[in-house]
Amino acid sequence: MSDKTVELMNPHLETARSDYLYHLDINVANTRDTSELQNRFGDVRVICMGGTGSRMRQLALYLRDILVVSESGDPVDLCERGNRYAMYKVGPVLCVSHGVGSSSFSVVLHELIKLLKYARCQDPVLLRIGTCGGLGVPPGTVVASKNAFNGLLRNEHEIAILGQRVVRPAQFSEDVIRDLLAFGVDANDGFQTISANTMGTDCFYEGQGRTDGAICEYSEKDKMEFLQKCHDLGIRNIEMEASMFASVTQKVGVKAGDVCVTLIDRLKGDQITITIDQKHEFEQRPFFVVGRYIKRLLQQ
Amino acid sequence: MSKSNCSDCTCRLANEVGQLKAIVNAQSRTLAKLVRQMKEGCKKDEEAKESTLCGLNPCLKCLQPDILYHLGLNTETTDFPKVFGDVRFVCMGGTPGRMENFAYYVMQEIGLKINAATKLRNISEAGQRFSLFKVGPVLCASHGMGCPSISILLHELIKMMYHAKCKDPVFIRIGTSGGIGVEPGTVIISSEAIDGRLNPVHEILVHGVSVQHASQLDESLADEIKMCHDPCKDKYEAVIGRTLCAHDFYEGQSRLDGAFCEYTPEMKKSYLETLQSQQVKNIEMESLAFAALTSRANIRGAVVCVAILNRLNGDQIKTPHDVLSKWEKRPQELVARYIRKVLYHNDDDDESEQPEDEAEAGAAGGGDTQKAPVEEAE
Repeated sequence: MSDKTVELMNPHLETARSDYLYHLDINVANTRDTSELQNRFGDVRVICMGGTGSRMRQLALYLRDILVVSESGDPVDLCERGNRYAMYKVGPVLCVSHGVGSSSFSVVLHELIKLLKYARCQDPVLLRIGTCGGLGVPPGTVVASKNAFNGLLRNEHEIAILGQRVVRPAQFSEDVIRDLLAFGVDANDGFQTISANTMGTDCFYEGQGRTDGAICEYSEKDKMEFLQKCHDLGIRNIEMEASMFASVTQKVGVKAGDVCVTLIDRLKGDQITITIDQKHEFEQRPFFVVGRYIKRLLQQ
Repeated sequence: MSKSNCSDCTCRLANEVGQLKAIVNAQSRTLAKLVRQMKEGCKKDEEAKESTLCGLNPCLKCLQPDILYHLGLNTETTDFPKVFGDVRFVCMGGTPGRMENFAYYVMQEIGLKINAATKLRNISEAGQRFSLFKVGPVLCASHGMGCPSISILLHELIKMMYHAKCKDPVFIRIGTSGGIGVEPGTVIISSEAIDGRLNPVHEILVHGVSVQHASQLDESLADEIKMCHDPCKDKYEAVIGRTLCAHDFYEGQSRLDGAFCEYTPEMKKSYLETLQSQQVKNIEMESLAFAALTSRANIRGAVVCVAILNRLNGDQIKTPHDVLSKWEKRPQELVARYIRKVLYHNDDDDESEQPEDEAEAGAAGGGDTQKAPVEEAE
């Protein structure tokens, strides 16, 4: 059997005696003997990530049912002492919160990828599950992201490293997308699941062309022109994490997917006006899609 | 023997009653002052209806209701002027727990706490993203990590200030950071925020185009906060300096311990030394958006962070949790002193309060968290 563990492109980790995943509050006391971490996390096949701890807790409860994991009581937050992110384990699945936006997500993503390496997890898949604005699709549509575009409408993610601009490609794994649509969709769902391009911005208001922010220096006409341009690129949803998530996972060579439900059609307005009950129902939809995908993945 | 016991009980009871009266009187005086300040604020609002905020979205007037989605509030179900109109300070920090603790601390420091059972409610629980606590004229909010997260909160808080017709609110971010050439535990008050390419601008992408906004912070506010530091009593240093705001914790901050890393320790050291030579004192992840948005809205803003390590000496945080907890309180203490100083700049007037002021306190309206104290004072 071939080794499908995560390889890290960081030579400095090879020489470091210990590592501390600060925001997760996980200490790797000896990087040459990670048997404790392997015992705790070595069986992990999937890491699901979403914005809030409460939603990840709900996902954990949902997965417990469909994966028939025999645990009782409240799911335990393994990273509670880190104070930043929540982490729940359901058999071979981790459910981890990532906060809002690329900055917050990139912190925990680096630490999770290191965890996958230290725990020697086999052939892991990383999935983001969340909510988003839609673009020409009805509220409640589930979108599996293909190419992630940034706010400049380029299919890339940019960060500054040592004072220089670094640009990286941002595509999600084709096989993950294919399998999400093949196994995650049920004819009786009552909602549509599609694959499309996604725009990930760093700013919810101005960056997404909203006209209801505290500050707004463009017109409704400018906004509609921009949204139409996005739509022409095959973008059907807008959120705040996709381009970073795609670029980091692509760089590391880990399989990843992004599955979000739309709460609004931005071509028809800026403010989210669905009821709280509708929102709760919509938020469950990516759970169904991802749940079926994971179930099938674990059977292979 | 029994007579002696009765006598002791009586004395103790008399002492306790005396102490309680003193506490109630002090609270009444405090409330009277706050009520007077609020009334003055209201009068000013009526006189000059123009808001002190500027550069705001001209469409805000038309948003009925305005839905502050991530705060779980909207202008239809909440009377913003009534609930938030008295707000003078908005303090924000990363985690909900830390900001809840700060809210209780502020309650104590500005004298609003009546008894140990006073409970604060998370006003934004419905939004599920941020926590929001109100302590009289002070709002305490969590903002998560990074500019994308804090910018959402800032847009919605600025809209709240607008709808509530708040007068000259001050925004303060309180948090932790990595230090550059400073002793761990040092408090840094930011003069300006610079980006990963060392420019004092916050770049956002609007309609597919890069737009840059200046990221200077209010100089006089930074000085006022620094003046609240006591070099003799406080066991730490407080400095004003530049702050690097990175959008990435690992590569953006030149760490060697990320999941991947494509530069050498020498390159990292060279970069950090460049930062040091440009008077950068710390690195964090929110100050650019904070500085740019508060500046654009004409809101005085300050960023006050404690450095939890010196990045010139290593990348990983090795300080024990209990020490970190103490350090985290340092910016909170400093900011609380500043707030108290502003609220009670006429401290000498305390003893000259008239009984009619206490009656005025009894008639107070005020925000959620002030109703209970008034009732109990009565």
